[in-house]
Amino acid sequence: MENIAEVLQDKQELLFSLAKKSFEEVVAEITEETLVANGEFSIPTDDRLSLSIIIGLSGETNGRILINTSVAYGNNIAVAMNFGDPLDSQDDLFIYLAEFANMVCGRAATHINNQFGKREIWISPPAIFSAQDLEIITPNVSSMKAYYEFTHGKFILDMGFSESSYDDF
Amino acid sequence: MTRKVLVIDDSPFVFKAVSKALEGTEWEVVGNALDGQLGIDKYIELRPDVITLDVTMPVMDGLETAKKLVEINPNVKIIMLSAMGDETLLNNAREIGVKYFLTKPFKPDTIQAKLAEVFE
Amino acid sequence: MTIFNLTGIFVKVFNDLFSYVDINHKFMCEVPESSLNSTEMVNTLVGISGDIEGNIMFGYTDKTAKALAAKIMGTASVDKLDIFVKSALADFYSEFCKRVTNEIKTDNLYKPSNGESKDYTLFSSNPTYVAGENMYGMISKVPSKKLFFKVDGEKFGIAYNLEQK
Repeated sequence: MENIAEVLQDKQELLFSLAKKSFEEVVAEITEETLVANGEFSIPTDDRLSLSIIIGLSGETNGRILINTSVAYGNNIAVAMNFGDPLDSQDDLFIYLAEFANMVCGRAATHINNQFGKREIWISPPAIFSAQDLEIITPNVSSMKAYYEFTHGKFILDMGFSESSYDDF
Repeated sequence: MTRKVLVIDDSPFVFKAVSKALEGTEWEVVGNALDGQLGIDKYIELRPDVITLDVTMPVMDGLETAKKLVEINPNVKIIMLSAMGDETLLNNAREIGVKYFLTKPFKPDTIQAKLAEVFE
Repeated sequence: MTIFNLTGIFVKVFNDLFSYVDINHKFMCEVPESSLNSTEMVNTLVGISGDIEGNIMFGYTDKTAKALAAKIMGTASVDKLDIFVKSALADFYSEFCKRVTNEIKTDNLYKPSNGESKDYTLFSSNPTYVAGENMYGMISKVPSKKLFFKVDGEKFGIAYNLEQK
C-alpha cells in the first residue's frame, strides 16, 4: 500500500508544477520571454519596497500562493502589461498587478481542475501588499519555491500547503 | 467608419489595455463599466457595436450579464474575456449566445484580430 | 450576485472570541470603503472561497498582536512575535473566520428565488500574517466594509468583501 505521506507529497508537487507552468506561461505572454526557474536568491529589501501578491487556496487542498518581488520589478511587469508605456500613476501599479495575479491564478485553476477532472481547488481574490521590511508568513504550511530571474527582474513563486486541515463547512 | 467598443470589466486595467490596444484603429472604446449591471445600463445608453465582457465581476457576473444583453438585443456582439480557459464556462457562455472568446493576457494584434473576426 | 452585509455576524463573533480570551474589547463603528486597503502595521489575511468568495483582513498593532498572543498562549506577556506566536495568532484568526462562515450557513442568509434553503460550500484558506513599515495593501476593487474595534485600548480593524457567486 502506497504511503499516504508520499501520495500527498506527489500531489503537492503536481500542484506546484502546474502553478509554475501558469506563472511561466502568463509572464511569457506578457513579456515574450521564456522563463526557467533558477537557483535560489533573495530579493533585497534594504533600499527597495518589497511587494507580495497573496492568493488563498482552498478546497481539496488548503494553502496559498505568494509571488514575491520588489516594487521596481513589479513595475516592470506592469509596464510590459501596458505595452511598454509607463504607468499613469502609482495606484495603477497595484491595479495592474492585481490583474496579473488574476491571470496567473486563473490559469493555474484551469490547469489544476483539468488535471484532476473536477473542481479540485478554489482560489480567493488576490491581495497585494507593499512595505519596507515586508514580512509575509503563513504558519502551518510547508512551502515549495521557484526562483525566476530574467530581464524584467527577480520573482519568487512560493506555493504553500497546509500541514493541518482547515475544514470546509 | 469608427466602430464603438464598450468594455465591461471590474478591472480598470482591462479598460486601459483595450483602449491602448485599439489606438489608431477603426475601433474606439466609448465607455467602460465595472460591473454587469452598470454594463447593461451603458449598453442601452451607448449602443456600441461590440462589447468586451469579463467573466467574473461583482453585482452581476459575465454570464448573467451576457444573458440579459442577448435578451435586450439577440444580435448583440460580445467578446468574452477570461483569465481561465475553463471549458464548462465557455460552453455555458455559448449556450447563452456568446460566440467570441479571448484569454487574458492579450496583445494588441490579438484583440484587433478578434474584432475583425466578429465583423467578418 | 449578492453582496453580504455581515456586520452583525462579525461583531457577534468578535465579542464571543475576545470575551473567551478575556481581553478588553469593543465594537466602535462601521465604514464603507471602495476597496479593501489597510495601512495597519500588522495584518492577517484569510481568503474565503466556494459559494461565497472574498477576503477577510484583520489589521492591528504590534502591541495588540502581543497582548492577544499572550492571552491565547496563556503566558503573562509576549516580547517577540516569533513563529510560535504567529502560529497561535493564525489559529485564532482561522477560528474567527470559521465561526463567521458557520454563522452564514446557520443563518442561511441567501435563499435562491425558488425559496429553497441553500447548503453552502465554504472554504477558508490558511491565514497569512503580513507586517511591515509604511504598509499599503490592496485586496480587491469590489465594494467592501471596514469595521473598527478597540482591543485592549488599541485600534483593531476588520475589513471584508464577501460575495455570493
